[in-house]
Amino acid sequence: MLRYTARRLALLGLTLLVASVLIFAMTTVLPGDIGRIILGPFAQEEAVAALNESLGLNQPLPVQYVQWMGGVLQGDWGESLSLNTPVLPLALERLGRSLMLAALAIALLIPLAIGAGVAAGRRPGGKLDRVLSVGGLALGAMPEFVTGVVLIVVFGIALDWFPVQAVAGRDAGFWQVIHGLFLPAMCLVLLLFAYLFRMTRAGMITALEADFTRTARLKGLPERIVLRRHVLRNALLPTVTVIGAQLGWLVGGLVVVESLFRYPGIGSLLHNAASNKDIPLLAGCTLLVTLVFSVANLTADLLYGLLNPRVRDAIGD
Amino acid sequence: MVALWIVTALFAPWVAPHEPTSMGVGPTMAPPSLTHWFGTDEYGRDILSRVIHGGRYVLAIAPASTLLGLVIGTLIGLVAAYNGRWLDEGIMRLLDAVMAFPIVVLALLALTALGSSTLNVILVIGLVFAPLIARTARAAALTEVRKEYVEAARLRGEGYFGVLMVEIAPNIRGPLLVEGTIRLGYAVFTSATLGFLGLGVQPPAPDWGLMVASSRSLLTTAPWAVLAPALAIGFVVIGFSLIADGLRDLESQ
Repeated sequence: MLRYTARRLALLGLTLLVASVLIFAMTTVLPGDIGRIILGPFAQEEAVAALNESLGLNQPLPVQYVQWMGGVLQGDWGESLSLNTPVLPLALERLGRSLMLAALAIALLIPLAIGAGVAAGRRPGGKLDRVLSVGGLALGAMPEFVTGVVLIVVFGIALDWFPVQAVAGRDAGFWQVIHGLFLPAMCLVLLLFAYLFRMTRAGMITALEADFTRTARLKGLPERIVLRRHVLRNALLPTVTVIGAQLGWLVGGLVVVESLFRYPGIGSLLHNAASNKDIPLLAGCTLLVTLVFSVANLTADLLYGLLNPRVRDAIGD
Repeated sequence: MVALWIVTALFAPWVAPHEPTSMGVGPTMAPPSLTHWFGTDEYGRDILSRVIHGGRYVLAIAPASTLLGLVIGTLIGLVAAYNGRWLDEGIMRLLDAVMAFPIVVLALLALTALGSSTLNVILVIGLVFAPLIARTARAAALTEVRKEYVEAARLRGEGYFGVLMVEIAPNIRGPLLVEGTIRLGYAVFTSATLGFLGLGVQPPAPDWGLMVASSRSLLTTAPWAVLAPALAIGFVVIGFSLIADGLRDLESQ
């Protein structure tokens, strides 16, 4: 387990290194003249040159990268150009809101998808299985804003069960907040449902056909106990890693869903930064999102290794 | 479904009843009627015409970016599988690191840096898909590179890329075809999402994602302006996932 963890941590380090270089390259090198972007097309040439000088943009790129990284590590993430506030506190506050939305989505998703997968996997090819498989596949391939628009029109406008804008008032109670977040969370659930469902279903089918299940049945154990002790435990293992792998889609989904529902999370902040060409804010948000995402991925992988000794040993050696 | 979309998109100028960008061809925000099947938007533009024309952007972007991703991805995957050892290890770890970025965030970053245009959207989608395709190509090629015909070709004196592209590539076309179709569906998905985020084609062009975003504020007053392009995307996406599913079944038989 130690070797596995060490290997996985090394991969995390590499990922973050590549990510930071990529973000640096795309936000510093590609846009070209930063001073020109800040001051606009009508500024004088000397003013642009002076600003570039003061921002340290005339130094060689590796030096700039090290300076930028040093600032990031010390908590100096620069200032947003469009909002004139430091990037880090703003991004952290928005991240908190996004995590709340993501947590609600995952809390709804896991019981729904696993329940459906277990039910469908018990009778593969049955009517329930076919409906869930085809429906899940179609919904999972649908962009979030498409399902979101349909959800808004049906449940937000026609039935008027849920608010169209996700953000509840400052003094709103817990249930009011959940109520407001329900539609955007459902959007994310529909996006992620298909994959998780399919993995659970496949796991169920394999475990049901396995020898240990037959042995348990032949021993005369009641079906309920066979399912709980022998089938479910083995069937749900692969599902755990899949939840980790799906976090990437969840993050992408947050950008879209938050914009659609006008929810002030990190996704909509990222979107705003991109539309306003607010480079420091964009770099900061991307970095923060990548960091959170990588750590979550790591946790899922370690959890899987902990649950399944076979993987741990195979990868460790 | 896919065929209907391709045909109407190809012949959009003849099929569509109105110019997609001409304003005031009907009353503003009129609900669907016999003259305007899908209604009109806030500038009195005919939504049916806009939806039909909007199909053209997706038709151009999705296949082009998938093809680009396939070419780059296959090449990377083959090089990794054929050389093996440290090059393979290095390439795969690097790809893992790139894939740790959420796709939408990566595309958002790249398009902001490069500027939005149809060509850039194609480039960016192709490039973010390449690592995923490379993984499939490598997995399929790993079993091929050990076979004797590869060794024979090498001894015959075929060049490096000759062995890769002429000998190995045709033998992994099955998995690549399936992967390509799945990616094609996701390319529709991604290009629509980028359009929705305002990073793809610019207004007043009738891009589906863009139409949903720009009519977002009309949701309560004129929901058809948002629903029509959204459903159009849904329609095409379902078509693609059905094709991909069918191909996968064929492949596994």
